[in-house]
Amino acid sequence: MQNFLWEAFVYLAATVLVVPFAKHFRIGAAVGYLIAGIIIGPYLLKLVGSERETVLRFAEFGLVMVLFLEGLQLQPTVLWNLRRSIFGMGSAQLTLSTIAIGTLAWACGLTWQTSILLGSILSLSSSAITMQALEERGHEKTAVGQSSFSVLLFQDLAAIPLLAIFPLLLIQRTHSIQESHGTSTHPAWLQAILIICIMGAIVASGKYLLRPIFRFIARLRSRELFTATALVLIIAITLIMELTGIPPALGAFLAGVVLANNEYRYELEADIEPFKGLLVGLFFVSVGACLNFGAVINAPALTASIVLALILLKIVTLFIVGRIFNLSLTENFLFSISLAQGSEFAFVFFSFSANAIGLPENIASLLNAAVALSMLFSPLFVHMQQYFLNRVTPTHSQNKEFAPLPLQEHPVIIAGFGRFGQIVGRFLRANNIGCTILELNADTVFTLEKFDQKAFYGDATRVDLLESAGIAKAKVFIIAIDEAEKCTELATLIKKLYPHLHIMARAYDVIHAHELHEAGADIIERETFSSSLDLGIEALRALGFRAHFATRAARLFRKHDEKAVREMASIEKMETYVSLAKRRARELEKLLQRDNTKNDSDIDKAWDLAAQRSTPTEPTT
Amino acid sequence: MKRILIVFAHPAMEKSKIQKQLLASAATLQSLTIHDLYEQYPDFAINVHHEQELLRIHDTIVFQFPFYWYSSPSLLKEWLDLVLEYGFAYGHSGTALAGKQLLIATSTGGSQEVYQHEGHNKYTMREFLHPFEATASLCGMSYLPPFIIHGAHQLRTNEEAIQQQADRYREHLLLLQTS
Repeated sequence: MQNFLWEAFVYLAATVLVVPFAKHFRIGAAVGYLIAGIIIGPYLLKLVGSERETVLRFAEFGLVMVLFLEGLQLQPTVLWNLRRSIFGMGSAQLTLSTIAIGTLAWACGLTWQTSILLGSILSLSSSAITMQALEERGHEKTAVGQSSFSVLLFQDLAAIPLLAIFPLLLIQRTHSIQESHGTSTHPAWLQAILIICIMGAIVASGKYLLRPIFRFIARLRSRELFTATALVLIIAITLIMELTGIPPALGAFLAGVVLANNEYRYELEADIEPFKGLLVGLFFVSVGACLNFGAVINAPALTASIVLALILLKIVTLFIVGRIFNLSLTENFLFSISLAQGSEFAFVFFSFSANAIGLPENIASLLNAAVALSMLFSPLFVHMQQYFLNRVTPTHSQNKEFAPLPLQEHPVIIAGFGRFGQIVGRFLRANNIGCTILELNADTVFTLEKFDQKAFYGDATRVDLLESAGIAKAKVFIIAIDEAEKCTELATLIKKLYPHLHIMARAYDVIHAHELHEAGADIIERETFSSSLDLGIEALRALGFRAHFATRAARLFRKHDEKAVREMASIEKMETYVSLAKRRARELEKLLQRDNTKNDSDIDKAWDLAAQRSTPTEPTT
Repeated sequence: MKRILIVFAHPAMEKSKIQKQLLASAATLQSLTIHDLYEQYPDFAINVHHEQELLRIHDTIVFQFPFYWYSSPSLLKEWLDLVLEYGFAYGHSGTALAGKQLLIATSTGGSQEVYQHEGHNKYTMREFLHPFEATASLCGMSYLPPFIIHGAHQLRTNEEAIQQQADRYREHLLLLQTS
């Protein structure tokens, strides 16, 4: 126990101490974690010992979560909107880079199968490092940001065959080696069938099993339970995958993709995010701690040339791709240099299946170190690139706007998609306004699904959930939740955190309307007022009144009522000590009194000359 | 300086080019109120009292609208029906508008030639606008020669010409204010 706590202390303390420096010097948290790992590792402070391999195994679980979350992001609409850059740029980059690196590996005397596999694994770039570097410089939305995002997304998609299917092809050849290592006891054909079956099972259960389970859990309205369920799901996938010898990240990615269009997507994302962040950090720290500097020190020239070759080949191939897809020169420099480092997948790959494909252990650990070093140098290159560009062309236009990001950035967010929110949402959709819907009632979400309405499960008062629903980009926030207190609470929260939003709220009654007004809601509608008045119109018509008269009478009544309610708001404050029921009774009394004194005779005045002549307006001079 | 009230009626402002430009140009003038009827009363529930107060505090009333079916858009007619009450605008004690000026500012799709006795529409614009002239007369207002932009269909694509007309409109209003 004490041992465990000591390890936890060392790992976390290293992170806490080093990452702020990394942030300050803008080299990115991922690189900071790596450095922290190297510092506590056996070659510097010697604070961590033999357990570091175990920690690395544990931390790889962080990558499993990363892939699950990335799978969740893969909505068909995103893929479709970015199809050209994802499949065009992505495949071009992977092909070119694989050929370049593979050729070099082959020339160095590796077999062609190993060379291809090695080439493709090293072609992958690090999303953690690249996206962070671009975000820190405000490039997420520029051409460079979108191109990088697309290339990285395609690499994730490509990681599926790379991590799972390619080693299979090589198993035949290395069968004898494998059996002696004991990594897999199945023959290749059985393994292949097993993989296909498990993939099928994940897709099927995602569609037909997970949704009812999430729905059931969601209905219990316990956030912890929901988080636990999400973790259980990912761990279960990992365990099953490990049993069959497939990389668990692959299964998690697939599960994520299956759940991408699920109504619980935002909730899942928000729940897993903190675990992911911490575990990914731990992963990089332990990669740093596990780096085999012995191998590097034994062959410094070889390591240096591997690192240099890796970075240069990546830059050159990326630059060619950028050229083909019309990036400007300055954009292309940033694009190719940002992505010129090895991927975290390479670490997983080298520890997972390096010996399965007949890569000597010392080469594997050298390559491992080379990938880590390429990551360490990456921020340095980006800094240098920025520096030179600023010197050469001080007014380069790197902020060219790319096509707008697809979906999730709807101008309207509707919290609560019940009887009230539905009508608002349907009306807005009918006028081509996109709405992001947050709904807490699992049954409602399920029912809506059947009628082809898309709603996401989640508690709208959670700030992280609001963030992932795109509240920063929204213009209008509609509060249509059933519970009155929750409405007021949400209005207060939104007003405080996102003052730019236009808050429109559904009020239960007059008193609630006052409360919402106090909370800062801009537009308040009493939920039953308009429909009750419409029914009143119908009642008048049934009694023989002309439709136009009835409608005009209702308009007049609405004006009168709104005025009365406004005036009462000031009196209301003084009587807050009175019980709710009493307040309601008093309010009704006051409203009725006002109704008595109102003058309805002017409804038809316009078209009734006799009435006009009998009650002339004040003469004026 | 005279205070001008533009009573503006356009049911589909989002599709307008000329009227929008005219309004924007007028908005740059001092002591001028723009009153957008379709924005204020989308449900035709006109607040008669408010409208009458607006009329009282202005000297020159402008009805600005696109010419539809030889007349104004329907909300302006509703406005006339409701606001110009007996005892306010006309009748024995109805003198609130007496002495004020009324200007019609409108745009037609067809050219000036079609609004001639020999033309396709058989009547002149002045004749089509007779109901407004009679209204002014009953209310004791002086009816100004209407401001008309013809050929709106051809004008739509010509930004420069639209701007010219908008400038002309502004000049016209400015002249009314100072005369």
